[in-house]
Amino acid sequence: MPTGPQPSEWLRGVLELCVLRVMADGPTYGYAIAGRLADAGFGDIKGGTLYPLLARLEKNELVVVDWRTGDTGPGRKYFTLTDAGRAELEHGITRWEAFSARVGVHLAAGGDAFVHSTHSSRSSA
Amino acid sequence: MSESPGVQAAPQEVWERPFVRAHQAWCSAFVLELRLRDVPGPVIGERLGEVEGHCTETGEPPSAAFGDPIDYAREIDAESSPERVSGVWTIAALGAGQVLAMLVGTDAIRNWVSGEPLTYNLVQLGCLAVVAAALLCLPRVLRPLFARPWVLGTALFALFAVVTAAGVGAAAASGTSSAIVVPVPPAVIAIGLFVVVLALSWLEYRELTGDSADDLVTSPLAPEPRANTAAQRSGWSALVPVLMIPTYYLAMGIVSWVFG
Repeated sequence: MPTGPQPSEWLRGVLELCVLRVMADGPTYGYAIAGRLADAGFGDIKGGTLYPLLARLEKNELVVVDWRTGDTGPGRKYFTLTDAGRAELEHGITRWEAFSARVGVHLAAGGDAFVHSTHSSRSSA
Repeated sequence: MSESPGVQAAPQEVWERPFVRAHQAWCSAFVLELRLRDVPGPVIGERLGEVEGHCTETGEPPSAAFGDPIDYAREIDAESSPERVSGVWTIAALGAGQVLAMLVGTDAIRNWVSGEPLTYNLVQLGCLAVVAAALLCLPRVLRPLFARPWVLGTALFALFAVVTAAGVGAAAASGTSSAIVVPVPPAVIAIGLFVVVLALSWLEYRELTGDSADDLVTSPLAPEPRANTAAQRSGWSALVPVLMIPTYYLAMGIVSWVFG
């Protein structure tokens, strides 16, 4: 299966859902979220993209935040999913599954038609 | 790495932090943009803390991780809580009020000394309105001024030209027959407007320092081992701009009395 970096427009549409999914595993912070997303194959998510999204989650009360100091580094801002955040995640997953299934069906049908059309034109030539 | 949740330490201004000093240009532009948007100081400090924390972990400079500071400030502000402080526009309005009171008041002192009634015509009133409008527009032009410092000189020159033109216009028009006599003795106007200037100065001082403990750009990150003198300085540094106009007013009054 060919893989590679997805178009940034695709990622923009689902990044919030993916971030919520990372947070579902427990309190976490920006750099760790970016790392989890990179490990999942989403590429390097820059701070300029990630933190406005985290601010929006905070504003919409989908997460609560607290600053924690550590042994190294200046400190970290931890994000913890709220009940509203968990509900948003579950709702988002349901919607995404329905949407991706619809896109899959559409592309498969379109793909069949494309293959059929190409095959027909080659036969007639 | 062990971490202690919810550790509270004495708030430290962001300017004390080595990260901010190392990336002064980026951080200053970021803070200025959020200040001009009247974002509260602690919220700005928290946003800058996110930048510092992230950059410390990735090893990237803020320009690489977050891009242009002004664009990022706009974006993060658009996604944040709409909490605002009054700040810039209130101070601009108080400053404009002070300057107007000073211009009229010092005029009144001269008339008080010479024993003539205070008069104004439409041209002079228009000139005063132009000065007030120019001062009220200052917050609007601060952002481009700081973004392109070369513009600063031109803008200050333009402001100076406006004030000079207003003064010349007022002087040229002072002898015209359409002058309206202010039906209040110049002495009352001069003293009354001095009281107004003092009152506005007090309000401005309160605006600059009254909430300063709550509105400093403080970092939520672990404080660096440096003495925090900025908060102690802020009260004194706020006195300088606040006292400028009353001092000028008083000096003009003395000069008028001595040489008038």
